[in-house]
Amino acid sequence: MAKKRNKIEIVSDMLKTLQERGKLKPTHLMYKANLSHGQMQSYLEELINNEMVTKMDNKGYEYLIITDKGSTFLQKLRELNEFQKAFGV
Amino acid sequence: MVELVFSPNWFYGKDIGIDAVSIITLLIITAFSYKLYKVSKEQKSALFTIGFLSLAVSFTFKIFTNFELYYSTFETQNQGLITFSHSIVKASNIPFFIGFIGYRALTFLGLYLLYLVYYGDRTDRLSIALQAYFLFVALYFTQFSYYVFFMTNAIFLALITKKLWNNSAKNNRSQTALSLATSFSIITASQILFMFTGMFPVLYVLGELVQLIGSAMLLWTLALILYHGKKTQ
Repeated sequence: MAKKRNKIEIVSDMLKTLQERGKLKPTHLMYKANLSHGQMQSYLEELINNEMVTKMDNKGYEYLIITDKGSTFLQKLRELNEFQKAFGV
Repeated sequence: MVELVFSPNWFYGKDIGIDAVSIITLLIITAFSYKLYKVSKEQKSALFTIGFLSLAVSFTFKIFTNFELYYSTFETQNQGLITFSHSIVKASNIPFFIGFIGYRALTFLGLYLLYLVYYGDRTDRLSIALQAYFLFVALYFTQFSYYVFFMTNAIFLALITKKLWNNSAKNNRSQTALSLATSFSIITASQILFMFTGMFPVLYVLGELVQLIGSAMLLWTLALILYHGKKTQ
């Protein structure tokens, strides 16, 4: 059985997916980052409020893109994830 | 009477430098843990942050205490007047005692919090209260027998190190986890060496050097964490 992801891992996966894909529709992000609808709503809201992810409109469709602040934060999350893994906390 | 462990004369001041390296290392880990806490808001991360901060502050107290001791000794040598040097030592008794107790109490607190991070899940509140009580008892006895202090440190560190080795195995002996477990093992060894300084004073020097190697390895582990964090980008 797959290990339950913690908050850092979930947010990392969301930002990483957005960084790799450039832009994504919210539903696609939900599938690519392996999230439930509830998780997607709460984490995305937090990321948008903190200006790490922004919404853009393209031909009537809503897309999500990662901001510079989001990319910097993703880098910090990777370091913290490494720290967490090393210390086992 | 308080039982003290003195550094050999030729090592005066050098141990302060070694302890300063430990403080820097511990403060970097504290900063990492605090960042982790800010993101995760988990109780474990909070305990981790306070634990490492306590250890960093405890070393500051140790440096302060050693400074106090070495200063008193030098004054006695320089003046050569028994009555005068006696009053200097007496005047510095209170700050010395605060430093002495502060160092030991904060070391116990820091190590106990780290212990709780790794073993807290299987410990109920009553057991935590009981463990805290025994820690106070141990703290009291450290005044009379210095080795009680180092033995308690060694026990806590050995238990924490065991978890770090388990974690290393779980992570397929990843470079960072392996390096971390090794550095904690070395630091545990330094505490075991300190236990016997009463019999062989040179072990104080050896213990400090082993502690320095452990701290340096911890710094190296933190550099690895940053490196691997960047590499996965």
